[in-house]
Amino acid sequence: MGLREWALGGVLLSPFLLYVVLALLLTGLLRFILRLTPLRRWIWHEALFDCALFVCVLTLVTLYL
Amino acid sequence: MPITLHALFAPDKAALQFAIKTLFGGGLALWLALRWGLEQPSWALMTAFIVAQPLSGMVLQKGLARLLGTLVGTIMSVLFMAVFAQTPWLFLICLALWLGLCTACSTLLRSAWAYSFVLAGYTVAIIALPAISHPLQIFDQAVARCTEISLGIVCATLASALLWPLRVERQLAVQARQAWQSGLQTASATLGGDEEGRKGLVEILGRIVAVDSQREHAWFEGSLGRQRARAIRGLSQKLLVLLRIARSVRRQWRQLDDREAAHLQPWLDEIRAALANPDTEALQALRERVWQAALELRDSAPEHYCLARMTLLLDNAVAATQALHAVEQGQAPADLPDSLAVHRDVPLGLLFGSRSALAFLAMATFWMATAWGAAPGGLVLTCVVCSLFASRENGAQIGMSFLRGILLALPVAFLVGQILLPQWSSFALLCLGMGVPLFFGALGMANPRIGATATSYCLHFIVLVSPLNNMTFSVESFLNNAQAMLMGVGAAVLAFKLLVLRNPAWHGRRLRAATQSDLVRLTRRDLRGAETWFGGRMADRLLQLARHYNALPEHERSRWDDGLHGLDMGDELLHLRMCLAIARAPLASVEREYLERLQDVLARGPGPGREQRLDTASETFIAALREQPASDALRLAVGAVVQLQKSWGRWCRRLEDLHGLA
Repeated sequence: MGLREWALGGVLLSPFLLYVVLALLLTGLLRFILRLTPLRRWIWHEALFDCALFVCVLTLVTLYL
Repeated sequence: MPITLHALFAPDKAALQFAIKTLFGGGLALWLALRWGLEQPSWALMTAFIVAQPLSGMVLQKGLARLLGTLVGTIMSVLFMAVFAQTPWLFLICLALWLGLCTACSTLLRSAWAYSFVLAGYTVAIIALPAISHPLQIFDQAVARCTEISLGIVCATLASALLWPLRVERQLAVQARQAWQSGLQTASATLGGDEEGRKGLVEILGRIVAVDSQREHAWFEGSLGRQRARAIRGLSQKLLVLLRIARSVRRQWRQLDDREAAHLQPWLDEIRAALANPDTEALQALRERVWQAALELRDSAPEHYCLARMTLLLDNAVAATQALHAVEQGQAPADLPDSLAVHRDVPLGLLFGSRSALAFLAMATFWMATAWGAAPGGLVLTCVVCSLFASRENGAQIGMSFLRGILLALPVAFLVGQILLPQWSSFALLCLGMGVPLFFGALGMANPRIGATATSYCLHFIVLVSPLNNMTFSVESFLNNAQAMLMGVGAAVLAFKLLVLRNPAWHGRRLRAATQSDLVRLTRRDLRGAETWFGGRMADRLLQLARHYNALPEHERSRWDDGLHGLDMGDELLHLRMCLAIARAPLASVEREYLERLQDVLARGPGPGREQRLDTASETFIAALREQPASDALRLAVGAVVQLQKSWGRWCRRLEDLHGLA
């Protein structure tokens, strides 16, 4: 699917906004899973890790969705 | 959320009055701005909400600080635009640098006036960013913003001064009494033992600093307020000295052997009882008796020193009580000490400043890359959040509550601005539409626990509705603005989260270095004003150390002890120099030699294996003191030299133990 605007009741929404929201949800899910596993002990700077993870997920979502 | 519900639906009288005052001030500002046809009346309304504070003096002080900052910011924005109108990147970089500088200055100046610097920083962003596409209008824009903001300040001040005025200076008297009471309690606890005293010390230091910071607000409340503000200065200083002397009595107490301690125990108990139930005359009578006992015990040095210091403690307790009366009666004493000095940390300020600048540049890059029309709104918010909360420990949390406020404002503003207002047209209906949501917001602002969220809710509600004489309604720009706001604040919160500048170990090391250099300066500094200078700065540092205290693992908590050891050293040093000044013995060369040696040792700092460094110098100096004809002051000076040596040894041994652990 390419980048195309979403029409919502006459208001055109940027597709990137939807990707961002989707990526945010996916990142939250991933973080939740990571928190349950022992992997989280390896994280040095949590905020930095979250931020990087979000960028990675967002890239994947934009490229492959 | 019981707090929120309670604040909104069962407010107390003070909150209700505050909400009505704020709403009235805001309404007046909005009406005048609309009547005079100012360009963006919402700025007047917003300013009225921003400077709204529960107490009159605070409103005036904040308003003046804001006005000052706005003026500087306005001038700078015109200047930047004049120089860099053709080169956006240079313009943005300069703006980032200016923002960083202002944030750094506001962090360094830890008083209510720091707000001016914050304003000077982000006013440039407020004025210059929207004008970047039409630089020729910058001057008109600058004048318009300045007028609107001043109008808001004037209206808010009027409302708070005329409707149910609440004065800082009255509360000041109550707070001063509380500070005095807990000061005496802490002093008494310190006499009893280390552990008890330490817990109280943090609390009382916090109280003293809090009361002292209110001085600036009380200054604006007539002559009584000014007198009280000056009297508070005396009280804070007296309380700090009292606490230090209590510690010095305790130090001296530790030198006593069991027999001597048992001998003096009744005196100690009596003093603690007197401090628990303070009364000037009783304190003075007790002081006379203790001093007589001290004179009788001249032959037993430790007991004599201990009793002499107890006398000093009682003297200061009396002085503190008198200072409290001066505050309560609003009569400043004639011989006022300097105001408390604060500990300034330039590198830390610069770090905070660069964080703001970085966050701004990141957002600006996004703006330049996307050329999104609504982005400047978000950029302004990044500036505001970054510079306002830069020096707060919990900047990220405040930023999050800011974000929560925006999320609350969005649906309400949509309902009012896009659905209701298009069907209504008159100032009365506008007031109804905006007044009801803002009233609840103002009720929330009165409650400190949800204040940040409520303030953010009010401000963004006003921005999103943005009342004008010729309203234009557009869902599209509403959505764009909303997104930009969320992104802007989000970027600021991200900056706070990513660049965490609180490494307790690093802070501790820096604070110790600063303490050390203060001690070195104390060996040669003029004695006048030295007490407030050293006491104020140490109080500030101890508070900063205490803030990290709970975050530290057990064995690292010694940093706080580091601060206390430094305080003890400085205290003894002051005591020694005061005794020598009173004795006026012809000792100039010996004294200078000793102080130079001390300065040298202090400059190298305490450390394992350094505890004997003061021994020879102390012995020579004590011998020289003993050769002089005996007097009370010289006897006490000998005691102070011994204590200095012991305190130094304790500080070094403490570090040795630490190294042993590590």
